[in-house]
Amino acid sequence: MDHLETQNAPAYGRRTPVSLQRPSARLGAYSGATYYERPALKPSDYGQLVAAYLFIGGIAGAAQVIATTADLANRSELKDIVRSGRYLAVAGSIAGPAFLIADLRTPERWYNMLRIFRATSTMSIGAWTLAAFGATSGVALAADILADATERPAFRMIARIFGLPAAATGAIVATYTGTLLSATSTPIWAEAHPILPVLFGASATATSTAAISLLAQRSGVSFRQHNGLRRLAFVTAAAEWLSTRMLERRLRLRRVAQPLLASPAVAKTYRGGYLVLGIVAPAVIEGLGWVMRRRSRTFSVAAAVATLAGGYLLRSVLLSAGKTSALRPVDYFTNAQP
Amino acid sequence: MSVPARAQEYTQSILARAIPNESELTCGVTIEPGKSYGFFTDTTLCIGCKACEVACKEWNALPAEEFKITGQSYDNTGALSATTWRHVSFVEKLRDDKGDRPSLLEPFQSNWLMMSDVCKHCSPAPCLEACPTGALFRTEFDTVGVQQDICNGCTYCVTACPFGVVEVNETDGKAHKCTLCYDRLKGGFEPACAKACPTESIQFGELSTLHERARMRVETLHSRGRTDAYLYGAPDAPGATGGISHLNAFFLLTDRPETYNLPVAPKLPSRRIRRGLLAGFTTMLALAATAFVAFTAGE
Amino acid sequence: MPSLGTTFGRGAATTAQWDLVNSDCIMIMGSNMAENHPIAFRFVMQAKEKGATIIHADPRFTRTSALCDIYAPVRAGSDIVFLGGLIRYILASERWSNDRFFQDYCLNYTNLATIISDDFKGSDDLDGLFSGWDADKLSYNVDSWQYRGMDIPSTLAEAYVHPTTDDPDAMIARQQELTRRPPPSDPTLENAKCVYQLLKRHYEPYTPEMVERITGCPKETFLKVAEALLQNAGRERTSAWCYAVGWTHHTTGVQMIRASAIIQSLLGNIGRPGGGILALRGHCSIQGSTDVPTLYNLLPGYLPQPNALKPHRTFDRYLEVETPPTGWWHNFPKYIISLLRAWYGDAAGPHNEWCYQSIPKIVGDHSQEPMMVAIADGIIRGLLVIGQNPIVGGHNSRLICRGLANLEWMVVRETFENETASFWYKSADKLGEANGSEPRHPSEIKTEIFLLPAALPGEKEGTFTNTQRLIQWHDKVVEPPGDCRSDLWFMFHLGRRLKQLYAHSSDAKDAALKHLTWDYPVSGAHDEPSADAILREINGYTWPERKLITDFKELKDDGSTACGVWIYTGVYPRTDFNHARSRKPDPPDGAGTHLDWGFAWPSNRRIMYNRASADPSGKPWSEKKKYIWWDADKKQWTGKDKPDFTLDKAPDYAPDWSRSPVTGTDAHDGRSPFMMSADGKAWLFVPSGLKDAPLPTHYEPIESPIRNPLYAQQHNPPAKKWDRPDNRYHAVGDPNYPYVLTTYRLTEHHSGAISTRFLPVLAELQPEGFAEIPPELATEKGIENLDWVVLWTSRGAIETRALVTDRLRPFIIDGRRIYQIGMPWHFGWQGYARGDVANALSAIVGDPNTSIHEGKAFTCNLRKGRLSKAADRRGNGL
Repeated sequence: MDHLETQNAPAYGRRTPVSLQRPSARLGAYSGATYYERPALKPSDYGQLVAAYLFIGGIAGAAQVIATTADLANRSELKDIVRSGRYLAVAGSIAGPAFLIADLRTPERWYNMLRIFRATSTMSIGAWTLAAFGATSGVALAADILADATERPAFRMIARIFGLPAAATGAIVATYTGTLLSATSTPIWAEAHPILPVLFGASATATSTAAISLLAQRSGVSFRQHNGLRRLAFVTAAAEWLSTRMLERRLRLRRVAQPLLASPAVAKTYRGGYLVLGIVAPAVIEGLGWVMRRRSRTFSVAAAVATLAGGYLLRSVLLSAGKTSALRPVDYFTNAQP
Repeated sequence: MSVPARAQEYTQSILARAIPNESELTCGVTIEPGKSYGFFTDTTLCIGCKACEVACKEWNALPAEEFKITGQSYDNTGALSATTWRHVSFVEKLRDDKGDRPSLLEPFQSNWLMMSDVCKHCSPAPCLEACPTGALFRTEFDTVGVQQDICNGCTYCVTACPFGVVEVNETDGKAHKCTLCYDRLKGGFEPACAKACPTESIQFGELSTLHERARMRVETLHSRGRTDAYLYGAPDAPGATGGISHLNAFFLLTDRPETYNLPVAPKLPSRRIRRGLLAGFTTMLALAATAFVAFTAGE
Repeated sequence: MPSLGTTFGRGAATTAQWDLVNSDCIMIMGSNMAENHPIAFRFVMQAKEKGATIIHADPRFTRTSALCDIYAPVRAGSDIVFLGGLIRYILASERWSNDRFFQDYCLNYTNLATIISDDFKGSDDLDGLFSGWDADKLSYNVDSWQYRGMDIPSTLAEAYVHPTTDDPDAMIARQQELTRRPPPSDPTLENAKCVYQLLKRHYEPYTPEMVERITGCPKETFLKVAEALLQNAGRERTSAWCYAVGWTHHTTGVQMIRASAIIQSLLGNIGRPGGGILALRGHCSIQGSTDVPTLYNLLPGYLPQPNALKPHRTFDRYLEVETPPTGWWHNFPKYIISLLRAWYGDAAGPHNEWCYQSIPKIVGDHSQEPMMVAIADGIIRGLLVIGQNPIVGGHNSRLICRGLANLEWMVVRETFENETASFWYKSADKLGEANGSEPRHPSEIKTEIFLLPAALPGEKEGTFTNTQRLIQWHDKVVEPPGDCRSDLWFMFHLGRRLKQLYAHSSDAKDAALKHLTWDYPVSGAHDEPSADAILREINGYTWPERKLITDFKELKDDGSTACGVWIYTGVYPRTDFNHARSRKPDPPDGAGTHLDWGFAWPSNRRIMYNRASADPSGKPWSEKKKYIWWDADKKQWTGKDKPDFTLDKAPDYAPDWSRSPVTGTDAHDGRSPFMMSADGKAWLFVPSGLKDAPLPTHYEPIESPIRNPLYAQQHNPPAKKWDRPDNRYHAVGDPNYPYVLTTYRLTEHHSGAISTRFLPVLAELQPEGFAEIPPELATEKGIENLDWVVLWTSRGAIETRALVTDRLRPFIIDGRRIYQIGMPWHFGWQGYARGDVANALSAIVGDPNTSIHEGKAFTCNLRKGRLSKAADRRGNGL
């Protein structure tokens, strides 16, 4: 088909041949006409149910990772973290899919997700990972509880063994959703590749840290645990912040940022709700607590709630921006250049 | 196209039953499982009659959508959707570079572009790759079909499609799109739209034959002064990019793809999965390590 | 189609769609072929593939234009200037004068050299009129249009063509001259009264500059068209013309078609492959409806309808005045007697004039336009509407509505409730009432309306006769649902019950019903009559044996044959062979005439007048354009088609005038392909049969923004007008109505659109009415795309959506900028796709020959906005 290529190379438009090879395409928006500005893509229909799943799944997956890490640290004073994390993982692997199923247009057929495995489908990878995650997390938690109840070390061992695959799948559960969005044709998601899973990972860790912290607060958390969680929160906040800088820079470069950064309602939510409330505010609050060397329960709760709220809003605005993005043919055509 | 020889076999207006391998009669194509089939839509022959849209809706029993004028030339259906599987777009380009309306036109379709769009039956197909249930599948004719009795309406194919074709119908909660008349192919019939097309703008056939025919057509058009003619979706042509090796439904266009609402260089979204998952996993690994340090560091 | 009928002998397309593949150039004018005949257009595309030049001349840039090589913009209604310009260009061209082909063709096959009466005066002398104009009667006496020294009978179903002459016997005597000598001619073409000289003089003013001035088509574009047509004619090349209702819907429609017939004759394109004139019919089986006519003035097979105002009192006299002495129509008595035998069976015989007196005689124009006026005036009291939707498809819808409200009863047979059936409760707020009066409340409308559900084509069997004269049988696929019945069922049972009602009457006037043969077999639960039996009757059979006949040459004038439509004979040649049902195409290497696919009248000839595809000596003009030729060994004509000529008449045959009278086609020499006409030639100049002009002449439409720049005569002199308060015409250049409005159809809908507006998948494609407006006018009026606009004329006002498009352009006509607005006329208030009725704006007016309206060119006004209330539709206070 070499011949075809030479035939095709010079020919676009009415007597104004435009070469296929346009190295500058990435630097400028597509300036030609579109078809009555009609969308060239179908927008995703993901709404709050999916946002909730992304949020819950992130917490669950990362919680297992944190729990297992804490477990591996092998210190009895981290017990609450381990237990809270495993609770969250199991709770999330039950609640998350519920939201996912509720979002299906034919929910009674949810089980068809497990009909086949398709390595080219992030959705399929996610479904199977989620199943494995739920199963291993369940075993780990049960063994953990049994270990406490029976005081048999074998159960502790089982919990620890199952904790490892649970954490590994948890790491995927916490982040594959970023890939799920990026592996579509929606311009703002596709162009965010591969920053989105990084951001989702950071945010998942931050939100699950916050959730563990809240759970742990309930049972009166030890100073060591509190400190550990606070350190982790600082680090994840920094990671999140860094990821958002990378994301914004990339979206601007690819000229697809408008739906997230310039459409009034979404941009306001993203900046005020996520960047400020979800990242900056908790860091400041925890920072204050740290500076004041106080173990204020109020401070910790406030920071955790802000983190969780921010984490949810991040998912929500990303979905909403994706919907708008798919409806903007220029955003798509700008990036669908060779 | 000349009259297929087998047309001689059926000499009366009524027939007691369907003609075996009728497509041999209507378009000279023998339909056999295991071969690749597709559409070659040549816009230079399209007269915008929309017979394809109607034939498609009639055969596939698809409902009308909306009775509302768009003011966008003669296009009142707007786009492909769950219930519109062939869609004719209309672009008026009546004025030349100086703003005058010309009288001497280029041969074949010009100045009022009309193009019958359809599911591209990409190879590989992003929608199919994205489908977690296997509802979307590749048929024995190398086309992409949807099994509504398996689809659970996750809508992931909708976002995966780089051409905005697949859509989930809110009424039944299943994904729908052109099946390249899978049922007709099974019965030995030419797809409804191609059969209805009066000017052979839509040609159905075996892909290799269509590619060859399309290449000749481009050559002919070039030799007759239509140097703006090019293929979209043929191997190594625009539309067959970013991991998509070719589109089983490909086109001959005379203006930029965007004019017809098509991307020049669509990409296969699944190509982002490996790196995406790895990036996510690495992130979590790094954060786990951080957590380990955070939990074990001194007071 | 009097235009093609008078020029060539038969009022039908001379060729078939699939033959367009053989064309080197296809001229589409007066037709939006791609949109309204998309299937036929496939052959245009195939010709294009082979290298043909495609030309479209039209007021609007349409889907047809988009596929053409040359698009010539022409102001609506100015076509004859464009065509006259082409005739002038051809006659003046070196190629036409020097290439022997054109002389050979024209001198032998047309009346180019024929000498016309010395009394003839042309429009160049009389400023737009011809000699013989009677200003009181508003009609022509055509005595001075005759050939010198002889009267020429028309090829139409009216050999008797001199209504202004009181002495029919004198006319008959002068027609008999044709049996004694050939028509006078001057092969040197120098005689000042020969047709060539008349043509030259007549078209002298139609210069390229004049074409640009009147049509608005740039001179350069016009010259490109002219040159393309000229270069694609000759021995090796042929051009075809396609027209449709874009020409017929004018008060000069017949003459537009005539002009193209002249061009095609001059260029030697008639009777040859890739040539001809394709009269694309308005919808399916319209050709059939003139063959087996629904026309008021014809009997089946183009036989003349007895007329009370003509010497038709007795059958003998009718035969005497209507039988031309020469040409094929000399066989007329055989056809009319076979028809009467078919209709009245054994009751008909020489003793009772073959029941001739049972046929009602017409007393004037009973076509649709005057019918609507008569209804409005209360003259007609009952109406059967079958396959029609007059409120949408007729003209001056408000007048029609008012008329329908005056009827005592109306029967509408339709598949859905159309506008005509629903006017009594829905029209008031859609059309309003006549000027000055308030809309009538439904309770005040006394018309009793019967809406009878009709079956669709797939629900009944029968035949279609389409554009190419091709009769194709279709079988019933499914039973019609519920109470739906075929039109055939309705007519048959209506006739049956009427016959029952009068079965015992002894009144002489009821004999017509009593004697009618009405014995078609019925079958099924609803006694469906057999369409097959009717097709056999149409084909004809011997009487009383009813043995099918195979050719109309077998028909007799002694009552031993019965035939429903003589030209269809051969469609059912054997009891086991319905030729119309045959579906055998030619193989890829075959002749390409597909003689076994359906049956084309006459005698399955696909290209008519195909004797002209051979040169005068009988040899093909060229190998490339070989079609029919003289086989000297077998002493007969042969070729790829059925020869449309006396099979064994040698090319060198000459009538033996010493044995006069020489009658029928014996009076034609071996070089006369047009055997229906009295002299066997194509008539460039038409001595009889046309009511408005022997040579096409430009007149402005009845409503025009400009004065006729060519002549003092503004519009077609004998055009039919009904100028009355409810049907006022706009004055020339009336500033109140400055814009030209042209109406048309879309691919997505079918005519009155009942069959499409109710179908969701079709309705969504063109879901609302609209008016196409050029951007320049839209800017002037502050109108944006999709805005509501109001259009109005003295007949009515409507509101619709604006579709602002470059496809319409302003024209500079006679130094002034003239805007055209286009509007599809499909829409009404019923169905899923709705819009105001475009024909509420148009006027009732008619071509003098056909009474066809002028929906393609009239004037209107336009503003942005909506009608504030229904009452606005009535008055002119806009």
